[in-house]
Amino acid sequence: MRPSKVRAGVRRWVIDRWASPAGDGLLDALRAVARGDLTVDPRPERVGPSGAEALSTLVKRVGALVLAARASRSLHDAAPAALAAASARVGEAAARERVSLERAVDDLAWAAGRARELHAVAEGVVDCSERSALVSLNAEIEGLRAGGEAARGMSLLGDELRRLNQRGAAGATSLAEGLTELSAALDAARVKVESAREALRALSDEAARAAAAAEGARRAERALGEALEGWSLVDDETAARARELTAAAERLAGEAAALRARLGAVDGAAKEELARALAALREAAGEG
Amino acid sequence: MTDPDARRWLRVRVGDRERELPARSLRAVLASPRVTAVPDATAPLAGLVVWRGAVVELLGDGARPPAAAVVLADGDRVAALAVDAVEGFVDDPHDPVDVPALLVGP
Repeated sequence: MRPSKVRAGVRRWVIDRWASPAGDGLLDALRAVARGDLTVDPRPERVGPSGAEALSTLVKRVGALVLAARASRSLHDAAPAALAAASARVGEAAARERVSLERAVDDLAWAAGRARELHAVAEGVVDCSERSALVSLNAEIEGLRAGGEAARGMSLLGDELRRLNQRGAAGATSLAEGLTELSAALDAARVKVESAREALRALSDEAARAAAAAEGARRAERALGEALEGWSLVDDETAARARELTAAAERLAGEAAALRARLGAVDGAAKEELARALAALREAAGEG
Repeated sequence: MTDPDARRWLRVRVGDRERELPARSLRAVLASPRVTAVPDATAPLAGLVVWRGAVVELLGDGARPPAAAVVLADGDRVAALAVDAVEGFVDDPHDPVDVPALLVGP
């Protein structure tokens, strides 16, 4: 066979072997990956040497991403539900306590108002005692002016009235002071309870926001699950096969390079043979 | 029982000073009396009060409304003394008031 024919045949073999089928195979493989199929065959005879390497890397990385997403989903899929349940419980408890505190605020306000009313009553008792003391004092004065037994009787009556008035006034004064302190304490307690009620209201609002966030996380988790369901499983066996195919593609690439070298060598030998033939012809022509 | 004859003094407080009034001069004690001012009056006349339907002179400095007024009499002369507190009857006066001299009049 002539060297030129050998070279053309090799070139045609290379083109048939690597160019056209590789383009179609790579395109098919990429379409499969786009559909979620990571079990595509990345062998070089199907997708070409360069396509095999790129496709293998793509499949490997996308597969790792899908596996990581699935692992993360299995790890965290219960968290949003637990968070939503906890938020609901916190919100319900806060609502119950808030109702109780609102009643407590009303009760404290009523008690403080009642204490102020009783304080006014106690002040009235003090005023009555003072007026009674004045009456007893005037009675004694009248007795002193009358003199004799009348003076003694009025003096006795004045003494008793004064003692009673002193006791009543002292008790009423103590009662009024205690009621003043009680009213102040009730007002302070009401302010604190109102503050606690506001804190519970804020806690209830936070629980509602946490529940909403948990619901959003659940929706995102469901969406991720639906997206992951469309992908074919990528396991270690497939990855090993991909690695083998990549190695095979690399070996084939090396063989192609060696073939090209041999083709160049054949081309050089043909040139030498042609030179020798021409020299022989020239020599023959010179002799003739 | 206390002997009325032994309690002959009524202790009152005027400002920060305690004084005693003789029981024989006492007629009545008025609480928070309603005082009618007298135009161009000078101390010791602080105004007028009503006691048992009669108009009585109120003696005092007139600097503030009196907490009480003690009606005093010496013969036919009757007047009221403005005080800040009535402490009660005592037997031992420390600073007795000379009522006849007080009621000579402004």
